[in-house]
Amino acid sequence: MPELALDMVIAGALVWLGVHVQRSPDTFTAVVVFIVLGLVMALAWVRLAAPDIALAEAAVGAGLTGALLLDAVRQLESGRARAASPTARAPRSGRRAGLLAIPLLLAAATLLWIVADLSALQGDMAVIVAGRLSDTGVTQPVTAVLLALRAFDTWLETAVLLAAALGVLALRRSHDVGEHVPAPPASDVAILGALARVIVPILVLVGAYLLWLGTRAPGGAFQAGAVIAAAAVLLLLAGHPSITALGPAMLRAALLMAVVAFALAAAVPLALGDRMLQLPRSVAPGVIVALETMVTVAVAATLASVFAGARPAPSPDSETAVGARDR
Amino acid sequence: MIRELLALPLLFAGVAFFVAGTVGLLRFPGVHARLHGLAKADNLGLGCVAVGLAIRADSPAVVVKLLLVWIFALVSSATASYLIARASLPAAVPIDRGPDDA
Repeated sequence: MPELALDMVIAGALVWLGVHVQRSPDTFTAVVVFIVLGLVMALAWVRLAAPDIALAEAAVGAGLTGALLLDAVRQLESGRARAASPTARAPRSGRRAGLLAIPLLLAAATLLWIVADLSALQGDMAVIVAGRLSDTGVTQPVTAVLLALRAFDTWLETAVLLAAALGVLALRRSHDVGEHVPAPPASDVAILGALARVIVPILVLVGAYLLWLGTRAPGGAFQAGAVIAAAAVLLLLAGHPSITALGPAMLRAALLMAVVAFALAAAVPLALGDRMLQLPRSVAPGVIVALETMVTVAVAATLASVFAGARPAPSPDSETAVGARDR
Repeated sequence: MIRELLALPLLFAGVAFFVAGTVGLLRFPGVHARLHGLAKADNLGLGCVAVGLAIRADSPAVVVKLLLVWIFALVSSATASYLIARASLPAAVPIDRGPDDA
């Protein structure tokens, strides 16, 4: 009974927050409410017995996406102030809102239909995975599905990440984005620098721990990559060059690492006569850990470079910047 | 059993502190007063909840993790509070001085 009350509170909060994001008077409030929505969603995933997704939602959905959106709001505000033209909030026409409702209703109906179909499949899937677990070389069912049974899907996901990173980095030379962002005050940089000195090593350690933990408990490559990306973003906010200090060759290597690693894992068995991505039982655990490490590096590099993407590199002449002091 | 008895008042106290912090958020005038209420009450509430859960924990590893959660929350909320307070200085609301104050 108490669980039902908690679940209903969470579900109601999700709906209320979702409506609130839409109806917020300004973008900053909307982004803050969106971050809260991400955190409540992570709670919902925990209640659905999916701690892996909860970790990923909290790290990426609430944390990094929130930071990205706040950064975008800041750059939009500075651009709007520069333009010096008052942009009144245009009243939404009823017909346009009505047209928008049709595809949204279709999407909602499709999702409901999928969920209704899913519950019939639920029992079978857990049993199937549990039966194949010993073949995969890992003991955690989620990691087994992601990196052994459905490794092809994960390979395509890394390719999607690469495409996203390329899309953002392609905008990096654009001149009307981020060029005139006012520098944060020196006291902010000093405070964030002090925090970074304490937190960044811990974040890297937590990321490595999540990566190692992924083979036997909730954790894994995406969550570890998100945590390490958060460390890189914190360094960037503290005035350290962070991911922008990587030369173009190193950045490309970091972004490509996962896709190439999966390609190798697909090509080598193919050359030896097996099927693509089919790993023999003896080498499977080692190869899976190696693949997870590559994915971690790629996810961290992608998320950090997406955050740093359109910003100019922090100026090294700020006295209190973390990187500048060591020069 | 005795651990439950020890933990329950702490958990209730933690929730009470969180409610107090939320009331402060809703009722105090201005950013700085709200930050003051939130930073103190929420962190103390989190500490009470963390210690209460640690008492009920199964293994020392869980206790260490809970205490680390509290410490990290303290560090990050202190940083965030400072940054927010600094950024809101132009919009600070002056404290009402009563007739007895100078």
